[in-house]
This record gives sequence, structure tokens and C-alpha cells, in this order.
Amino acid sequence: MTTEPTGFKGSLRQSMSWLHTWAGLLLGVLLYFMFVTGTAGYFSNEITRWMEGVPVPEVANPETIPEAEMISRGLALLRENVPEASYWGMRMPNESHAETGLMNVFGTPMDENAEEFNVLMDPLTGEIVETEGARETGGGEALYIMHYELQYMGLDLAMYLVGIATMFMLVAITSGIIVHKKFFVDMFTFRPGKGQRSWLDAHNLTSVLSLPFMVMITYTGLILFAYDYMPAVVGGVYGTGDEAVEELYSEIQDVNGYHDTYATEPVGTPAEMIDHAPIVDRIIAEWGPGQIGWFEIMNPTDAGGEISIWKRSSQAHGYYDIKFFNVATGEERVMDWQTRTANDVTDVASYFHYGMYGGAAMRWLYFFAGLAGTAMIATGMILWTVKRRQALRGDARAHFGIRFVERLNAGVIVGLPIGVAVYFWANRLIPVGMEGRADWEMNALFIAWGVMLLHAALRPKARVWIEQLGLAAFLFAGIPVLNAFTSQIHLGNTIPQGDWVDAGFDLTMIGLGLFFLAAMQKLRGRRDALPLSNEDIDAMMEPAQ
Amino acid sequence: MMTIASAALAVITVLSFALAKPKHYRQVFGLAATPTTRLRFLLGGWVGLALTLWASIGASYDWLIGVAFWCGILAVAGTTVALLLSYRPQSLRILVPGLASFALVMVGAVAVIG
Repeated sequence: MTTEPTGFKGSLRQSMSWLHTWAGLLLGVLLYFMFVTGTAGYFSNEITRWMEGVPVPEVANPETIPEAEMISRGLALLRENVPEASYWGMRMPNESHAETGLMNVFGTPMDENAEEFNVLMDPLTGEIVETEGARETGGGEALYIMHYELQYMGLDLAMYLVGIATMFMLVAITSGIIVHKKFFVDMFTFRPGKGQRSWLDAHNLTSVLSLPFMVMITYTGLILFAYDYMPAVVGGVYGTGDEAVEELYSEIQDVNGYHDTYATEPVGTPAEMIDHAPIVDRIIAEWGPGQIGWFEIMNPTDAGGEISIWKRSSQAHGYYDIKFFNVATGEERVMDWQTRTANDVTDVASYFHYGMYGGAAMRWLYFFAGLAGTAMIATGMILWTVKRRQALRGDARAHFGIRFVERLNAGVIVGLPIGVAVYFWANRLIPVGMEGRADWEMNALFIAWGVMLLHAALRPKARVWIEQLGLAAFLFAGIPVLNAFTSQIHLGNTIPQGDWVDAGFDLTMIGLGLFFLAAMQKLRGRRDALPLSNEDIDAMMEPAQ
Repeated sequence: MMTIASAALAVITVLSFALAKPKHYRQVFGLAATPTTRLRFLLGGWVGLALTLWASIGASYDWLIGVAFWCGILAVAGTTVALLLSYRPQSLRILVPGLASFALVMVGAVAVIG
């Protein structure tokens, strides 16, 4: 039998190996869930757009439209629809994660009971883009939120579970570097078709290549909830209860941030808004063209009102990159930013986590790294069982724990993606007007996943993976076909129109389908993998003598 | 432009490091690498690493984002090279000189056009 040490005994590497194995096993399922849904989150806006299922009109490249003109058109729309407003806002077409080429125009009427004004505008014509017929959907946002709020449980419980998993991840990464330190030597080695060795190769390869991303995403993920995870620190300084928490946030964010610095209280003297063009010109001179992310006006018809211009979040560093101008005089209010290091760190860390920096190319890299992370967790989970299987002599019956994890792995690693595919199917199949439509999309995901877990528990072991991979391939590859029957944004339209957001979604689904198909074919055609003795394994793990 | 240059350079960099390892060199070229060849590839790898960083920063808004981009593009390149080495090692024989000249052209073009 294996001479695997238990607990913190033996050498550093042996005890780290123990830690790595069990930390990974315990939280692997939750981490896998977080990585699948979180990775999808990098394209949450794109996913939402596809799920709404309405063609987005072809619009001009926003870079070709002068910013001052776009803002003029937005203002005209606001003056016409919400003349009496306490707030006007425009999200420019260039703002990160919103690359649809459209401008979002918002207005909050003075009358608190009146409805908020919120439309999409074509920045070239200034006309409202109708989104009628858009499906009510949880969209990509629901997938993204799920990676830290989980589902069907309170936010508090989810937050702590996610926190524990993230902490374990950090432990697994650190101990993993010590355990698998040989992976730097074998850096580009992947030996397919060799059983455990292949899984180990794949595990090493995906981890070493995405290591910077893993460390970053795990650490920044913890920072995002730092105040909640270490409540004693907050409690010691501010006391306990909701008020204390509020005080904390007002102190760390508001002074440095914009909340307090907004001139939110109207002075009561009516005023005309000055021409914004000279201000925009000044901003362009300082920031360069195309850098405005948001253009906002608090109390647009009041002499105390204020225009605030935000830099694109992909290139901003916290709140420093906002400019304030008086509505009536256009005079700039220069901020006396106090340096609040803690808040700056949190800002940069969270922006980094969300993938706000950089453009679309960067988001693809994030997506890729997220997939590599998902694969790293999946291969780690499989490795746990493969290693124990191969340690068994002959036909010895595996321990219940091993059989349990084997089946759990199948139901999770393939079952969850099947759930996600069903989420997209449900989006297209649930009738448009149905009550609680968005909720049922999500329920469909979990019902499907539950069925897959059951399937994994009940079917013969050799069939479980093949059947689930086949189903996943069918479901993903089928999405573009289903889409063609249920919407206008199918590949036949999107590719000729150059709508690469919607086409990209369908093409990615085809890619995923092919991936699952290839995996299934591989399993079906598999001759027995070369068995590996424990000596071989130890030799692989040991540094070269 | 810089994005493409950075991607090409990243593949070259990762390839150089891979070919500096005797096992991978043998996989691709079928013969043992001399110590000098190995040293050259190793050196090429380090130079490539620096050049990729330079191109990544050029492709990004500021240098910090460039460093993040660098990590990402190297990961993609690493996966590509690892898969090629596993399944199509011979193809790298053509890819190595091809990509190297492509990367050179790109770097030259960037240097001239700016």
C-alpha cells in the first residue's frame, strides 16, 4: 500500500502534500462551481445580451463620433423626457464591459414617485433603441453573482462559505507550489494516454501557466470581503451593528470617494446648464479622446448642481479620475483628495478581480485563465481518485470514499456545465411572458445539475462519464441551433451583420460542444491507460537527484 | 498591432524555453541538442521574455496593465506550445523559424511605425 503520510508529519513536502490533497478534496466542488460561474462572469454583459435575444441595431463605431456631440444628444433626450430631474447620467459607449456601441441614458425625476428614465441611445442619431421583446432573464449577471452569493441561501452564509473556500484555495496554491515544485522542470510536458501521469501533467500544466492569475484572483477575492471576514477588527474600532458598519464604510469610502464630495443638496436657485462642449474639450486635452466612461449631472437645473465626468473604469485608478464642474458656471471644483491607502488598495484589487483594466483582449485572457483554473481544479479532483485507484492491487474493491468521490466528480465536473447549458436552453424555451421567468431559468440549472448528480450515482461507472460528456456536447452544440429557431440573433444573421458579440456567444457554445464531444470520443476509444506504480509517482514528484 | 506582436513573441519565448530542455528538443528535431544550442535557446527565451513584456506594455494602456497582459498572453502561449509538443511535435520544426521571422517582422514594423 501507499506510504502516504497523514497529517503534518515527515518532511515539509510530505506535510504540504497532505495539506494540498485534503484542502483540495474538501473544497474542490465549491471551488469548481465558483470558477465555472465566475469565469462566465467575465462575459456577463455579452451573455445577458444574447439571453435577451433581441437584435441590437448596427451602430457606428463610437470612436468616430465626437464625445461632446454624443453628450449633446443624450442631454437633448433627457431635457425632453425628464426636464425636472435630480440626476441625469450617461454611460458612454466606451465604458468597459459595455462594448455594444450604445449609450445608456438615465434620469431620476424630482418627483420621487415617478418612474426612472433608463434607455439605450444610438450615439450617432440620438434616437432611443427599442429593446421591446427582450426576454426577462437573469442573464450573465445571475451566473456571475452566483459565484459569490451561491444560490438558495442567505448572502451571509454564502459569503462565509465562499470565504472559506477561497482561503483553502490560497492554501492549496501555496502548498501546491511546494508539492509540485518539479513542475517548473517539466513545464511544457503533457504526456497523454498515460493514466495518472497524464492527469498529473495536466494538473501541473494548467496550474503553472495560470499561476499569476490564480494568486491574483484568489487574493483579491478575499480582499473584496475583507471587512466581513474579519469582523472583529471592525467591531473593535467601530462597535457592532448595522450603524457601526455604515460608519466604517462612510469613513473609508465617502471622504476619499465621491459620495460626500457630490454637491447633492440643491441650493434652490434655478440655473441653466452651461455648454458642456468646452469642458469636454478640456477633458479630452488632458485624458485623450475616448476616455470618458460616465457623464453625470446632479441637480441639473439648480445653481448648486454639479457635472461629474468619470474616466473609463478600465483605465481609472480608484476615484481619483473624476472631474467636477459647477452646472451654472462650469467652474472646476478641485478635489482635496485625502490619501486613504486602504481604500485605494481595495479599489485596485477589486478592479483587478473584475477584469476592469484593459480592453476586450484582456478579458479574453482572463476568460482563458479562468478556464485553466477550472481545469486545474477538475484535474486535481480527478487525480485524487485516479491515484487511489491505481494504488489498489488488482481487483480489490475500492473504499466507499473513493467510489463516492469518483461519482461525485463526474456529476460535478460535467454535470455543472450541463446545468449551465440547460440554463441557456431554458432561456429560449420558457415562454416569454411567464411569471418568474428569470427564476425558472436558474431553477432549471439546478434541477439539471441535480439530475446529473443522481445519474452519476446510479449508472454503471464506465458509462457515467461517457453519457454525461455526450449530453454536454449535444446541449452546447445544440444551443446555436435552438437559437436559430427562437430568435433573430442566430449565426445566419449575426455573422453577415458583423454582430460579433452574439455570434461570439454561439461560436463559443459550438467550441464547448466540440470540446465535450472530443472528450467523449477519447473516453470511448480508450485502451487501458498504462498503470503506474507508486514508485513511479514518487519519482515524478521528487526533485531530480 | 502590438497585441499581435506580443502574442507572436510570447509563443517564441515559451518555445525557446521548451527547446532549451533536451527532451523537448529531441521531440521536435529528433536529435540531441548540444550544450551550445541549449544555451542559445535559453538565452533566446530570456530575451524573448523581455521583448514580450515590452510588446505587452505597448499593447496596454499603462505598464501595470501591461504586466498583467504579459502574464495572460504567456499562459495562452504556454498552453499552445504544450499541446503542440504533445500532439504535433514535428510541426514545430516549421513553426519555429516561421514564427521567429514573423515576430521579427512585427517588432521591426512596430519599431518603424511606432
